[in-house]
Amino acid sequence: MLFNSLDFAIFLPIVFILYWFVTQKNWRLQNGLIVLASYVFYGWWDWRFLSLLFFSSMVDYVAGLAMMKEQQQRRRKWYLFISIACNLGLLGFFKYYNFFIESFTTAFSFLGTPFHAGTLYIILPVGISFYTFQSLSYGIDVYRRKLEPTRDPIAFLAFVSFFPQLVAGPIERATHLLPQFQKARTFEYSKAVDGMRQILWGLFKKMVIADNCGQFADQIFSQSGSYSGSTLLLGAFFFAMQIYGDFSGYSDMAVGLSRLFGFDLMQNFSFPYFSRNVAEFWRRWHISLSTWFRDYLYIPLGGNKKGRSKTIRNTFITFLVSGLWHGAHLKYLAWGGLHALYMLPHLLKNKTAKKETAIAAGKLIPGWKEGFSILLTFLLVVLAWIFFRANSLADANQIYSEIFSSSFFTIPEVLPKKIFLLLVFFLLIEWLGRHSFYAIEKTGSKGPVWIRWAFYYLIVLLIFSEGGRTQPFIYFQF
Amino acid sequence: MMRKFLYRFLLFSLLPLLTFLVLEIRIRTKHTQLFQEEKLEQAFRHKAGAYQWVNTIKHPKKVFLLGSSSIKYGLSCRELNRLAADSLAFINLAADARDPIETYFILKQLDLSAVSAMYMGIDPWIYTRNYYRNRHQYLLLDLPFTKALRYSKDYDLRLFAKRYKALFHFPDPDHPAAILQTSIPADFGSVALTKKPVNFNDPVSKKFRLNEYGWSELQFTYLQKIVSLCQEKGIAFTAFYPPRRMDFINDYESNCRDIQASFLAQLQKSGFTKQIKSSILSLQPGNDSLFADAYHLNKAGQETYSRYFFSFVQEN
Repeated sequence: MLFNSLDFAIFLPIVFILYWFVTQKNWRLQNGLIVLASYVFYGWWDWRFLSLLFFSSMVDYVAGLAMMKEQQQRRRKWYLFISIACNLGLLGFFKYYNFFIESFTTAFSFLGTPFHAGTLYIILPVGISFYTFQSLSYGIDVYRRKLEPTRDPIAFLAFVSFFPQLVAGPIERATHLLPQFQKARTFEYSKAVDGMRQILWGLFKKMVIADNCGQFADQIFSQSGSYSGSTLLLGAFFFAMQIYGDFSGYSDMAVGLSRLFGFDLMQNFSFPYFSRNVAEFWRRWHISLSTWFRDYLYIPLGGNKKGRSKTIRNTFITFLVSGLWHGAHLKYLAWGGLHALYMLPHLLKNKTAKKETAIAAGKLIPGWKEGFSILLTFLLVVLAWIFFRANSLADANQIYSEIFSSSFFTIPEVLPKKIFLLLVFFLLIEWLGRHSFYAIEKTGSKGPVWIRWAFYYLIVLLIFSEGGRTQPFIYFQF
Repeated sequence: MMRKFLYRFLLFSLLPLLTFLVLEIRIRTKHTQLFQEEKLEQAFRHKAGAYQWVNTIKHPKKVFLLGSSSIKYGLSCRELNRLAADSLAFINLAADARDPIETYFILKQLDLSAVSAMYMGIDPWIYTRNYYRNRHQYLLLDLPFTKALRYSKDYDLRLFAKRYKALFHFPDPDHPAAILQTSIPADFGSVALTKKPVNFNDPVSKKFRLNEYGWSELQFTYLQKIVSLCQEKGIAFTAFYPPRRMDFINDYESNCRDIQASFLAQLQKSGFTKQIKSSILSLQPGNDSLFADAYHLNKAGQETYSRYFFSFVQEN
């Protein structure tokens, strides 16, 4: 079920009413309702994979309880291993089986030793990478004794399957979200209104920005061989806007929906395209995943505490794994690798952990140095997206060679004026709201009611009149 | 708190809901006026701009080929003109997903004085409301409310926005007036298909969805108007089924028997009494290599079918 579908428009009010009017006196009953609603939400796409979701949740629930009861460290480690093996085993099978088989076949053929293993027709369960990582974080935190495991299976099932963030995050930590399922929730007017506002902005990002930019990105990338370098760079720009609008729009809706039910989710995007360097970009882009990799991969590998060469090694490993998390394809590895390369100057100067300052603090427009840094970082990020969006590595290479050729200095063949106008409006609002949790958090809550409502009506109007052709959320496939 | 939230939310929703209600009532009550010929003409006449070159062809015996993509890619005018030793001037007015409404208004804008015959390819799914998604958005006003609701769920969430846009904008702002084309195209409007069409992967029965959306009576009405226009101008009119690949024919015969019967009934109901000629090429097995997909001929198929078609024209 998509957030921007009629099905969901019917589903949400039913769950909302049952949640606040029928089950409101008993938070355990509310959790039960959330589990039921989440399983319906997920099963709407393909009910067969509900068992996978249930199995993944139960493995971690049981492993958590076992780790709590067990005092011997060796045995605790075994329980953690079982939890990780089950989760990553499922993820590996559904997402990476064919990729590794094909890679082995190619590698062995290259070495002159034929290797025969059949690939399988495997459907990738929606959101498997998200809920697997969320569930995994629970097991690891319990093992590390950072979290007391829950004895309440319904609360745990609700934590893993919570429908607003089930299929595309934010990937919540058990330490943050699980306790919210273990106490009573009260309806707060300001929180609910804020949630609605964030949902509205998320819908705008998805339906107006992402879907419109997506049409042009698709057009340009599908015939990349026949466009000039300038058009291809524009295509990459449209894709950059599409993926941001799509994914951060989804996150906004997820956070907003959670607020309607009395939950607080973490911020997943913090205006990443206004970053002044790539390290900052990664502190602002897909924060829940970046911090997940930081806490459960980068730091366990040694982080930046074991010398410069190991820091560089750990950074490359983290980025490559992050690339692979996005999809079983070499192009995602290349994308992760390129970002790791971007980080190299920061690593060599030991600047990655620099304390963040606000973007253009106290100013309407940034100074020339800050402005230049923002533009340069954005350009680097856009160039990296080419690996991500291209149909193959070969296509990406062809696109790069065209961009860095004389055809870059021609006028692009595709110049959709209406989309540019919408993007100017969008980026302006994002810039003005860059110090908030989401762009219209304050823009939309200041001033007299009629001005605020007029602004909301304008957004609604733009969604209905300028929304692009509906496309599924990009991150569902990861 | 909850009461305040719900009250505010309902209050906020009231304006869009009322607007929605008023517009839907207007569409429902003004349906006949909205679909008067003059109104439709406003939405479609600009399409003729792309065919100004047709009037520059000075030939006493022009033959128009009408229909959708199956005709655009299925027949080569250059080949037909060669076979006719230039005694006839074949001109292809077919286009991707072109329907009788659009065809009629293009014809109305053209000089028909030297046209001796028109051949129209009939693809039954073109006559469904399900096909409105490939059409000028003005036709979305022809969907009754419940069907529009279903349509927006099935195909396009912005359907209602498009309906209201169509209601107030003439001509449709998304379809700017076609650039006037006065130079004659290389193959007189025909195009050889070198790529595989992308949106023809569903089984044929799924193209109709008659239970959900039904036939478009407007399309039948305008087919009949084309026939009447031809009669009025003394032009011979022939309808025929374009060639299909054998698997399509088998699929259609086994799964679309009722649909075909219903289609013929609708034709009769609209006053269309002409017999639709079968395509000779379709009836011959082993012609799969001539097709790019089940409905469209490739370049080799276009040349072959043009020869078959010319014999068919001579017989007529």
